[in-house]
Amino acid sequence: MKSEVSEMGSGVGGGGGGNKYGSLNLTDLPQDCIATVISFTSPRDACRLSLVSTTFKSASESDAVWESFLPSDHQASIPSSLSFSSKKELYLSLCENHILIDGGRKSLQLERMSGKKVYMQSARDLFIVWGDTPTYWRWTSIPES
Amino acid sequence: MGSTSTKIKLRTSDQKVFEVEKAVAVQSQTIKYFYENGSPDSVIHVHSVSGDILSKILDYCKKHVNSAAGKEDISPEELHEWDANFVKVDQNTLFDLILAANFLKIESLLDLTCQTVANMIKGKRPEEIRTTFNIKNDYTIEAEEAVRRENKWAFDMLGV
Repeated sequence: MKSEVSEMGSGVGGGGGGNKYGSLNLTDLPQDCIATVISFTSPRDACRLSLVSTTFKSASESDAVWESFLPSDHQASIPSSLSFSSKKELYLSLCENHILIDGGRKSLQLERMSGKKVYMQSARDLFIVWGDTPTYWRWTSIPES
Repeated sequence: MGSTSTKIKLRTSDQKVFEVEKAVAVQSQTIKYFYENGSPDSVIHVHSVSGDILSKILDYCKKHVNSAAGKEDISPEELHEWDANFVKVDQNTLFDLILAANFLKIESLLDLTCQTVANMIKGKRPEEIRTTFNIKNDYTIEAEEAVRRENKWAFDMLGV
């Protein structure tokens, strides 16, 4: 199915390819390739990788990497009033703070190591047996909550 | 596949010419674009890919095309194992494959090769990564300390 029909010259490699042994380094790859590699690791690995070299730092902080760690539906659930300078900042901010979603009935936070979503449900949305019977349950407001 | 199937001619950086079945060649979005936008008989110059690397890449494309078309009786597990063996190569070849997959726009191959490098990186300390890939630390002591502080949480429990 595949045949070599002509062969001229001898190893005049052009561009970046070719078997130039010992010359090609991971940091020679285009930044978007390094970013693709990093997006297959984890948020924690990405942060650690920024210490390897300056090339790694810029790749590991790219939006392409952190976009892959964020929940796929983050754009829909995060209020547009919140703005961040980078996806990494958004990610880390979602790990530090809850944000209210669904009109304030739920809150969302990310688990830092894995990027998994952690939801908190408002108590008013829970079904509590006899929850509306003051003999058993009372709604109190705690100012700090 | 009979002799009637369309072939595409590709010329590599080291002037090797490959005549490749169309279904296999168009796994590359780059080749597909040039084929559809050029004259059908012209030779497509894949100027940043060497003959050795292109030959490997065509093996990959052929395997996946034949498997998807049911021309080869191979289970998903067997194909997965074939892929795993395909990327058991030295670092230079692996990086050449990444460069070529990126240039040729073969997404599944780019993912496979990048995932392979990612597996060599995961859970390792920066010093180990520098050693594994022969990377020079180009930070000043102050800059390195600042990056470490900025990403402190990622270094906790690692002993670095």
